[in-house]
Amino acid sequence: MRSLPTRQLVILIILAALCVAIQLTPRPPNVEFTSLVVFLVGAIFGISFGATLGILVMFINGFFSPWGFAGLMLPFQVTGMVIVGIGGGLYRRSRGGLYDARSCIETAVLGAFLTLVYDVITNFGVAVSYMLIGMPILLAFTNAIVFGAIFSLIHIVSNTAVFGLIFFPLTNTLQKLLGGGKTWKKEPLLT
Amino acid sequence: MEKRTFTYVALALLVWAISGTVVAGYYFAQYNIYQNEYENLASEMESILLVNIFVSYGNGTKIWYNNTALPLGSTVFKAIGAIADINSTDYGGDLGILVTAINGLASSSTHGWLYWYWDAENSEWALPEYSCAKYILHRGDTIAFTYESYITWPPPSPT
Repeated sequence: MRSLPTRQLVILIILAALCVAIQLTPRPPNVEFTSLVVFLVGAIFGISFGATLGILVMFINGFFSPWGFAGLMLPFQVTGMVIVGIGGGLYRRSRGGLYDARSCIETAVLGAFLTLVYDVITNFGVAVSYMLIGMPILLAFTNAIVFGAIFSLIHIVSNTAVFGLIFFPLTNTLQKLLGGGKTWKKEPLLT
Repeated sequence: MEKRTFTYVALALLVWAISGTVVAGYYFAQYNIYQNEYENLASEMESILLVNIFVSYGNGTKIWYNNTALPLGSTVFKAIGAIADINSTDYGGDLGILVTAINGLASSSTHGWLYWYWDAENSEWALPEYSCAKYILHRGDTIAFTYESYITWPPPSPT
């Protein structure tokens, strides 16, 4: 990881704290802003920061979530959120760190896709937990995926909206806050 | 189409296809669950009977319990016990079990609970002369419990 100027470091810490706080706040199941913040950190600070925040948030969430201890689901949730952070970092690379109104549609699609990936991974974790209590493999996977379908659908639809509507205005605001349109450019941000 | 646009359209279609398939699977599973429940319920219905029960409390309060489901072979005594809190006394012999209170309204020296069945052939209420625990119900039977005075006999039919 590269070193960051103080102002960017402060923003990163605030985002990380916000992310943890949001994740631990009681809320409807599968409506969340954590993925957005992790993706955002990836898109602003790069793959390594996004992935690290993904690990941090889901690790803390695993123990202090309002839904209880994650248990066996913890590694699957961490893996899913790391992929979201990496997705943000890769999006940053593809856009050269410059985001515009077109990003709304792109991030909406990416939000849906990354949420789908996250849900597939966590449903895989559910299937593993079913297998551990003796359910046949095929039935375990079918049950986990099929009976989690409505929750996944809510998750995907809500994250499509959240990513599409919030990502660009948020990056725009942060860009202004940090003093320039090229703040998130792919090149090193050291000042 | 620009490669970048194509990539995002393809990604969106992929998400749609997978989500759609999974949700379709969910509804297919739900369909199978409800189909099985319906078939189980239908098979259970073959071993139950539906009866109509009328309760008149003698003070103007009259309540119908239509299509009350009971196991095959149920008696009138079981039927009234299924829809109300009752007390009863077993006098043994020919008299058998008598209902002495329904939903807290107890028999007294002048009033008591009588049961009736609807005689469909003659289209009138009939007053059996044996215990309600000996009357075995049939599908579609209509029975009544009325709180009446013993002083006038025969008592008035349920209305």
